[in-house]
Amino acid sequence: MKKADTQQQGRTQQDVSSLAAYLLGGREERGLSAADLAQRAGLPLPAITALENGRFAEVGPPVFVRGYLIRYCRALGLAEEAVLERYRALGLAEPPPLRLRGEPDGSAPRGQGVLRPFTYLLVLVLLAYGGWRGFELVSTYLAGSGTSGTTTTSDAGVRQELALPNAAPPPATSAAAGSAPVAPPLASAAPPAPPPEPVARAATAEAATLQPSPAASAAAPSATAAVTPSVANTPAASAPAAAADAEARLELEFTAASWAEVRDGGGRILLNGTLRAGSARTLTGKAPFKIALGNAQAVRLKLDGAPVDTAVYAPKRGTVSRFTLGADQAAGSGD
Amino acid sequence: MVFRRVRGLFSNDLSIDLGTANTLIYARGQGIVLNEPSVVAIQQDPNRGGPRTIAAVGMEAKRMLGRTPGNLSTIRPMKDGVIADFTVTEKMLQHFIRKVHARKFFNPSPRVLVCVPCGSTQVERRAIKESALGAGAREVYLIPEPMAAAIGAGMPVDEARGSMVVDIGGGTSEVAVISLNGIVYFESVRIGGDRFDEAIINYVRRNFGVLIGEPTAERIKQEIGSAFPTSDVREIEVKGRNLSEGVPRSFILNSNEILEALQEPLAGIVGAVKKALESTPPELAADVAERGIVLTGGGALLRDIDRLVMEETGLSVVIAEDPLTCVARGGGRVLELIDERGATTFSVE
Repeated sequence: MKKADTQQQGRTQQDVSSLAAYLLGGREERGLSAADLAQRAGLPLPAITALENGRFAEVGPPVFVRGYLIRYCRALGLAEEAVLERYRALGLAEPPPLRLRGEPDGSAPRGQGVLRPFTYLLVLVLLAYGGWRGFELVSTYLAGSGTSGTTTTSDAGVRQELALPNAAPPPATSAAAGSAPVAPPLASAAPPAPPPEPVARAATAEAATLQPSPAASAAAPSATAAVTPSVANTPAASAPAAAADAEARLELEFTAASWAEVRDGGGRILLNGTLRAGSARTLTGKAPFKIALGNAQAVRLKLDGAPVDTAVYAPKRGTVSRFTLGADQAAGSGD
Repeated sequence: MVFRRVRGLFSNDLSIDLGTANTLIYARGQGIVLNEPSVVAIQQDPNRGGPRTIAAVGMEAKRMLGRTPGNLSTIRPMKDGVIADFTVTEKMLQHFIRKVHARKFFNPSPRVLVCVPCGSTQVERRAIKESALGAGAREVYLIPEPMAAAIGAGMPVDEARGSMVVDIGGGTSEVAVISLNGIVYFESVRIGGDRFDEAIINYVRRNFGVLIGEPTAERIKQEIGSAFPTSDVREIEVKGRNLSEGVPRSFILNSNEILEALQEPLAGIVGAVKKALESTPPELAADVAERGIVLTGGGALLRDIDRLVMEETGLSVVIAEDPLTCVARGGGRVLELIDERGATTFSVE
């Protein structure tokens, strides 16, 4: 390829020299000096010299070279058509490409640079992402309105089961039984016994719950902390059915606008709508709660007064989170 | 509008040199596809106040010029490079645009670039634009004729160097100095090929007492017309109506007589070139002096017109290759760039 180009170049150079020699020979044959010819043809002297030396580019763009060649031939009586034909054959007669101001030679036209494929790829990726987001939103809407069962399965991966801390009832029950044998009679004797707590609480909260029983504080003040789980779990252990049917209280606080949907264990919709920043709702219903939050990071939850760890319902991707709160806890208590 | 876009998919982009004497159309990717006289033959309904219909357009209409019966008239809708009859121009353009599109299923709706004289007013430009739109164009761009002519001639319009182009058309002659893709100075005179014909008719009538028609005058100009005296004297036999006898007579005209007849319009063109050179900024004038002046347009085909300008200005003068089509070809090259570089380049409106 390179060799062919070199050969072509060499041939062109030969043709240029031949044409230049023909012009020079024509002038010398007629015994004219370059200056005489310049005057006769009405051409600048440097142009005559350039043409006779084959330096056509020095004359200017092809339009001028062609015009000067015509004048040169007419002044000497040479065959101008033949000369023009030879000039065209050199491949130098093509007009220069149009360029804009300040545009370098050979620059790619607008929109046809090397970045073009990448631009197309970026647009494709954005379109695909937009489509996926749109599908997700539609799925969310359908799931929220409860019209489609398929959305539940598609979003199964998003659902998060609640795993509350300190929620290990069976060992706690046995430990409590061993360490504080006085606790069960005290707890069972308490007349205004609070509703069974499916969720373990802090020791202070438990203490407050037990305050109605004066015997508890008097009998074993040092064992208050140890008593707590035993007291909490005793009703659950004794009456699992009652725990499952008990009403739970869910508090939602919104730090930013978010849509939310909450259903209780019976499938009843307790909340469905978009709530503004700063608003709060307290819901009471049968556990477990099925919760869907549009902007999960902007919502603080409390279940029966105990804050729920945000890690529990942090969305795996995006901002939407679906999870069940209290169901497995209730079941666990029952077990 | 939407339908026009759909039709546009089936149309070629066109560059139109809407000249006083000839209309040339350059189709993108195809080159010059039409070169016809800007003449329209109109048939008047015999009933008084009846409708007028187009009988012929272009070459066919030109053959009728001066040979029409009472109910038929030939019109040249362009005068001095601008529209003289809006409706007829629109019909003529419509005819030409359809002619260059072979497909018949859709009416063509191309993007069109029309070359307009530099000296035309805003009203005249608007009329040309409206006319092209009325003829079915989807979008219309206008470009000054000298700019298109310089590009078509292959002049280095983008360089920071002055280039002078003289475009001698049918109705106007335009002189422009171009640098950096813009027109720095222009001079426009309403003198062109038509005035040459008119001068020949007047000369023959005054000196020979014979009346000749426009087609005959044009033939004389093309065959023996000359702009500079030479030893090579050419002759032509012409037939016309003798004014005193009232009968047709034939007589011989030579090139020196035609040269004498053309003195006045030629002086007008040379005057415009000189005026442009006087008004050009010195740096650009120096550039022009270095390389010379380029002549384009049908008027550049007049024998020895380059020699006349050279003698009068003292500068080198060259005639562009195929000067008649320079404007249309230049417009075509610009049209090809509009997609890539936008429509604001090369003084396109």
